[in-house]
Amino acid sequence: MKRENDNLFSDESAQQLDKNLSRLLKLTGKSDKPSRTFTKSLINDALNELKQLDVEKAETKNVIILPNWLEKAVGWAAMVAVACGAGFVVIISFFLKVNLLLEVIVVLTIVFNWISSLGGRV
Amino acid sequence: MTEKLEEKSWIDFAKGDADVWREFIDLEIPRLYGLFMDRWPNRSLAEELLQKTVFDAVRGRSSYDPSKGSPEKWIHGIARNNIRLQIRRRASRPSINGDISQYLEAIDTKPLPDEVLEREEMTKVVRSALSRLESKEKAVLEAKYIDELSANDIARQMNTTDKAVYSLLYRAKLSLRRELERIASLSKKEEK
Repeated sequence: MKRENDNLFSDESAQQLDKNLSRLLKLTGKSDKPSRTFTKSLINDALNELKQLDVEKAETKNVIILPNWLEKAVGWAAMVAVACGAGFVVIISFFLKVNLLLEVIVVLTIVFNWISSLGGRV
Repeated sequence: MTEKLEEKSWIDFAKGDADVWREFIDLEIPRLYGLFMDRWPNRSLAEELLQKTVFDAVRGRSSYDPSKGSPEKWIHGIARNNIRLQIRRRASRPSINGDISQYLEAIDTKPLPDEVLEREEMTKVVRSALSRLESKEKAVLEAKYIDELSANDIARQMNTTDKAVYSLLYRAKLSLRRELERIASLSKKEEK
């Protein structure tokens, strides 16, 4: 396979050539132990990874995640509280003889506030 | 006597003590490297497997139990597992054809398979190609790829500038590629 010129055509081919030459040339070096540069860099990288894992572990410990059942219980409690509030408004307005339209507006406002406070979960 | 991590350090090792880990990795690197080189005489592959084994150990630190044995035994188990994975990976790859010239011709387009690198004749081919380069070109390639020195270190060693080292390295790579291709085409002709 004859090339048109003697340059490296693209970054990709230059990189591939670099990788292959590196592997080929290593065949001719001493092979009883890895190079000092490689050893040093491997130790540093491994220790950094070790430190990073410890940091991630500590961060995970600090995050409070509510259990699923607790989240559901809070949702139901909120729903019961809203229903009681709506019932309370209806009863009070009946005794105070407030007109029906005002009564409906108050109940709807409570329900919408509740839905928006739950972030549309219900 | 082979050096080992003292038994009293095993618990600190399990806890991830950085000093104990530094000492441990430093002791284990030559042993693991030897283990991989015994299996496949391929320095790049041995380094790759060594790196994988050390990182597997760091990431799987929590699986080490001091009551079950030494950290050395544990990391050698990880290394053997990586050897098994490599054997399986090789078995699933297509087999390599007899002629190495086709691989040398495609040196800047495809990665050279490990099986090709591990052939005895390949070391001879590379040595022969290197011997035909100018002494400066040969020296810069050896410094960069065998001794793994930075351009700055090479420049200091050769008493020149970084820029001159990059330029020399570029020329040396092209010369080596040309020589490898020449040897490849010669071996092809001989076969015919």
